[in-house]
Amino acid sequence: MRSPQIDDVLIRRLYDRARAERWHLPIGVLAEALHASATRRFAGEDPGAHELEKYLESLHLEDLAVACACATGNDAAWEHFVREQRPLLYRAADVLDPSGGARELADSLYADLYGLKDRGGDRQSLFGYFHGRSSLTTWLRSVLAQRHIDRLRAQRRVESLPDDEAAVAPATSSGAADPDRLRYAALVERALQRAVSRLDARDRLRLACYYAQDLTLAEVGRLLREHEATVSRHLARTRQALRKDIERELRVGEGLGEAQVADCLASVVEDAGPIDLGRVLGTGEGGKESGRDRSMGRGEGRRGHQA
Amino acid sequence: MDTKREGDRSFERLLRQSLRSNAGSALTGGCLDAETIAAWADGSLNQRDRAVAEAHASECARCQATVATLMKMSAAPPAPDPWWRRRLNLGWLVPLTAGAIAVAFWFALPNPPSPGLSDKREVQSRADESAKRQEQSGLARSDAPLVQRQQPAAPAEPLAPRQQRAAPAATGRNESKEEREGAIPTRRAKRDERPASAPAQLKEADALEKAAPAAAPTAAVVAGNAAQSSVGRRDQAAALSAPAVAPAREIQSPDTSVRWRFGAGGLVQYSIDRGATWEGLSTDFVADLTAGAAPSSSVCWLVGRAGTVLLTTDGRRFARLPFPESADLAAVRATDARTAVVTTADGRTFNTADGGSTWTEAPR
Repeated sequence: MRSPQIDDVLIRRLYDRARAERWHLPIGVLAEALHASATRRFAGEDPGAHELEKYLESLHLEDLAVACACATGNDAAWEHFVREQRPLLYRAADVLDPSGGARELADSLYADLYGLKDRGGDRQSLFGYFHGRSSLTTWLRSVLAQRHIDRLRAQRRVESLPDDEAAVAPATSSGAADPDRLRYAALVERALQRAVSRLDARDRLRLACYYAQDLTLAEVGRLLREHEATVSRHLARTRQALRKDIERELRVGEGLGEAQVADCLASVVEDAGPIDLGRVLGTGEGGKESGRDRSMGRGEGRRGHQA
Repeated sequence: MDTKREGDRSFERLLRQSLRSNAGSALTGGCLDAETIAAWADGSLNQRDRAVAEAHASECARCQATVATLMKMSAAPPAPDPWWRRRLNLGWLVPLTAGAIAVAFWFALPNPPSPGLSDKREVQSRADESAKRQEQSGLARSDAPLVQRQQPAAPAEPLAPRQQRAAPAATGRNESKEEREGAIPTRRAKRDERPASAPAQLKEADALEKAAPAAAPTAAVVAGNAAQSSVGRRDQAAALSAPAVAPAREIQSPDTSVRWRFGAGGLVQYSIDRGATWEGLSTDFVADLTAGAAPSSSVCWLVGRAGTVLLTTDGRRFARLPFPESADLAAVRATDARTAVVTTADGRTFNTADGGSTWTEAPR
């Protein structure tokens, strides 16, 4: 992979802006980090000098300098980093688990950041993956979130077997009670999957963030750079489109009549249990309220997120 | 209508269950790295990269969950204060003390030699003449007496009596008679309207603060251009006399459309439209901020309690700078992003010429 060439004058200017001197960071170390960042950003591209400069200027340079200094083992930088970031990281961990259980995960990050793993004499620090594209604080939160999700997913894989068995039983009994429901559920499930897959990526993400990930309208809005009201409007529009799409799919694709389509949807929306997609996560009842009810943010009854 | 709404809710329920379960199963591989997700959450991805990230996350359960978790973390409320701070939270004493000091000054200061009597008469006579002219020309058709028609001007400036006491010393009689009498509705409104020079603005800000040190509940506008030394003196004086943190203060850059507002608990807000709208900035610092200086539209220095010095060079992202003392800081003067002079609450000054990396205490 060809590394974009960065002018020495630009590197010096960025070095000054990063205030890297306070950590006695050799300019070469920062230059290397800048090269790595640019290489990663412009992989396979040949950016013009202006574009490259614009990108480098947009980096969180001070954070990058701290990360580089910490990675090289600078005590002052490390002290600064711990003093500034530890409370924020703990606060983030407490969001994941208010009982304090996620702090252990946060603590384990420090070991990786410090770089305890020596390979051939080189300290492999997690800081090496930070290229200044975001603030150091958000990056740390992101790493913490990723590890938390991975841990949850791993736990689910281990614990899924008994849940699977438990989930199958009621579905079977429900199906035995009403054979049409199973057929209807399968039809709706298929139609829904097709309809969702036909959605625009942004609509699909908005829908998933709101319904699957339990984000509030405001949080979805912040992620997608939309106003809360716009998110709500888009969600309503997407729901309508999905419903129409499913009905058309049932009519045209499955050959159902109007009355059958109505019966089909009525039986499934009343109790989506027979669709039984919930067994993968084992998510229970009492999920999302209506969009109107949740537009004000998180209340006391905030549920844990679904991975 | 109700049936339609009920149908919509039922459909929402279906979506919730099926999407949640799908979210657990889909994993596309080639996941977004932590930094891309962080940059996305920070809003620093360009349009193309954001579209790629959105497209991936719309199909990848892991990235979707990570992004969602990150958004929840970012929206987390600040950690509660420790028990001892909660118990000793005496913040309510601040306005009370300030109010008591103001009242004490009110009674302690000698009465100025009738600063406005002749002026009052002059304004009154002018108003009378004006009203007479209006009546003569048939414009004033109200049956209400003249005094009543003039009344709105008087209560529009409730601070006027206090300002009459303090203004002569504070302003050096720079203000017009109409202003002291309250004939002009508010000095603040006038200041906002008038494209005054920076020193003039500063004098007015000084006068306003000295005249009503505790009663100014809103932000004190400070011109943050070349006359930063005056800002420092004003801030220093204000902070030394009343170390309590004002509810919110405002500084503006030489480009007057760019402004910052700061205050207690690390509050920092940013405006690029002359204060019409404000954007809250996340500084992740909780110290009370007491003073600021903005030598340019992208550079802003803020200082506060416990040696807090914050600096932004892009207008939005503030970084905390190391400071050799944990003393409360009362004022800051700055000429650019590298050079600044900070004054502590006990009157010592510290200089930096390298953007806050090193500080030198100035001899007294």
